[in-house]
Amino acid sequence: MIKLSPYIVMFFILMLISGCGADEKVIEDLAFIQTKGYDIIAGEDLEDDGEEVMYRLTTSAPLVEPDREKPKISRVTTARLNKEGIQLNARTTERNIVSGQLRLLLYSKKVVENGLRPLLDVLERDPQIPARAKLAIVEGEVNPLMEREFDEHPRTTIYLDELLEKEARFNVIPEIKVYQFLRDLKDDGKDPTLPMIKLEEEGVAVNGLAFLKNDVYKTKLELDDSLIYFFLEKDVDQGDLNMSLPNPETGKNELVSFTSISTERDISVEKMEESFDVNIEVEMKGTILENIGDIDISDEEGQKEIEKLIEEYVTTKAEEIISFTQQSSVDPLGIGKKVRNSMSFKEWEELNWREEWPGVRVNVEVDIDIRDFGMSVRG
Amino acid sequence: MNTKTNFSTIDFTILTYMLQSGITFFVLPRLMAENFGYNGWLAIPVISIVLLGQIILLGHVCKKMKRTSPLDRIDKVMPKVLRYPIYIFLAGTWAVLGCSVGANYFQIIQMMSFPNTPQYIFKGILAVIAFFILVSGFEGFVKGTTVFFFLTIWTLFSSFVVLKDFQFDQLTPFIFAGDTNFINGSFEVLKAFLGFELFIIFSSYIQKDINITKAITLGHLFTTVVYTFVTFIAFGFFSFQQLLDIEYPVIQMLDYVKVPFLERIDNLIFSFFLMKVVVTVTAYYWAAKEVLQQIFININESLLIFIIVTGNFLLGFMMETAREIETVVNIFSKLAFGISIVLPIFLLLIMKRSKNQTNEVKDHD
Repeated sequence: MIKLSPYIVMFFILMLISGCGADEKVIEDLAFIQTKGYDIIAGEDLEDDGEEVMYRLTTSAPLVEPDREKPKISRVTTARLNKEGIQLNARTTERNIVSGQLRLLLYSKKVVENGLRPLLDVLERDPQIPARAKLAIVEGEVNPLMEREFDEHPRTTIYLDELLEKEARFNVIPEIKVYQFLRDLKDDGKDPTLPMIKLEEEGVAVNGLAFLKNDVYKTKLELDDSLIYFFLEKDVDQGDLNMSLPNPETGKNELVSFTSISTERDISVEKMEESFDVNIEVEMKGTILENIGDIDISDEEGQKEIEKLIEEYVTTKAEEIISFTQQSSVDPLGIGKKVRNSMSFKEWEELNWREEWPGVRVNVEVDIDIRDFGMSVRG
Repeated sequence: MNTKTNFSTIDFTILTYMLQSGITFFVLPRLMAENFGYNGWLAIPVISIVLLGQIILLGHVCKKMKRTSPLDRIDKVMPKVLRYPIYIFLAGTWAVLGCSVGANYFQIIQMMSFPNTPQYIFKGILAVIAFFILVSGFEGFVKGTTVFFFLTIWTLFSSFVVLKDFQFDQLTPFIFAGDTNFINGSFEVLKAFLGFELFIIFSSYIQKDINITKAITLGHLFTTVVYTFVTFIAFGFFSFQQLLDIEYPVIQMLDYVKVPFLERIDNLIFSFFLMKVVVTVTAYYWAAKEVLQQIFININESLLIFIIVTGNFLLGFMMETAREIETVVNIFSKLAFGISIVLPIFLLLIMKRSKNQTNEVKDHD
């Protein structure tokens, strides 16, 4: 028994250390911030005239006590530093406000237009902030969105968190957490993206996919096209496309709902004399569950015809998206990574990808396999 | 003085791994990126193979010594004036290194979870644990290490969880490109592998039928696999510049792991790491104690242990900030690495000389 003694001692010490001194944290005394929202109130149009940027920081922490009228503590303040804001917000509560359970970071579009960099430092430095906290841009002001009471959703954070998660699962928006954002921001062959949300009558809706140039908001992609954007960015395992396909023979439009789409993407880079040729091949599989139009999809000929129309539609849209990113001189698709990986380190060092990208020729090739046409054999 | 107990080879394989894998593990991916550039993880197996040569030398010396204490051999050939300063140097290096490893760990855990708790509480706890383990003897230490190993090894599996976000594109085809400093980098890797050299002191406690070279080699290879694998994942998980910017990439990776019943697993896993730190620290204190016993022959062993542990506890007060600790760790791991090369060679020379002398005596007879 005597031999065991050090381990018994260790066990007891480890049990005791958990309640240790100044860092003792009693859960009833804490308020775990789940959402932080940032608006900019000063220095909006600052041209670096020495004026400090002031942020309006809204924090929202849920409370688990059932007899409270409001299930959360919501506070707002203005501050230059993130930590300062939290401290000020804690002044009027009996709780100690902590960030360890942070789920959501919301930035108003103006904040991101001004550059996110000053607000990123704390995300990298503070060990309390989880790498899994999600980031999103709010079209308009963040504060009203966070203060608004949604009848159907008493817990705003959970509502927003799950909304973003769901939309990301269906490939409407990307799911960007602190980790992904910093990874893409610091990658020299890719620009970061962020989902955008907006306060509407019935609730909050996702309303765009923001492209950033480094840490600054550049432009946004409408959500109608975002699924096709994801075909180019990654292998997609879930998604639905509703298309209106112009039929050159009849001059009318074929309305098609192409669902349960899964895609595989392949990018190859060819070095040309002046620039690069990038080839993106997308293989798509899916089901047609709704079809209104003149093409008879009950026979092979009609099926091939509709496949061709969808291919053309997706290719055109994809090319539009790519030229849109080139015009905005951002590379959210990460084509730069593929180009980087096709050359030597020295060549990559000498290349200014940001300048090169708008001039790169990108060919998109889409290959569609329609798995089935649903339960109907009608034409 | 040596009581030999029945250990098995696996005990010492585990001990080697537990001694080697230390705090450096958490910073290793960044150090590899800083010093070896893109795909710096490739340097780990290369340096590990080079180190194998040193391990074989060490094993050879242990075998030649036939389980006698290396210090007794030095006692026989060197006068007090010469050997005492050497002993003080050895004991001092090992004790301070052990102390700084502990300080390093507590500095990180303080930053992560206990920013307002005074460091002496942590260091005091470590001192108490180390004291009890040391007093319980070599057997208690080795068997305890085996238990600690099985209590902590599961933490490695958490690195599989981040594989979902691993991208080969992130690795890039560049090999050792960018700003590199191979010499500094190689030393950082050596530092990460340090610990096995203590077997030269341990060998007199290990029974003869155990192949020490085999045990250390296996442990070393296991450490190499773990280091290479985790660093490889980090290079594909983070983008290169991101990796350069993160102080503790492995902790950051753990931060990203989410299990169904726990939102943040990083703090938990890092706390388990205390056991590894305890093993490393106690091993260095043990070595220091062995050496000091040659000087203070008549002193009670427990008292000596008490003095070493208390001395280091007090020394810990001089290492409070991250920068101080880093400086101390760097200096003393360099010294320890020097010892790990010089000591075996020195012993080999002594043994050769004494063998020659015995032969001469025989010839004379």
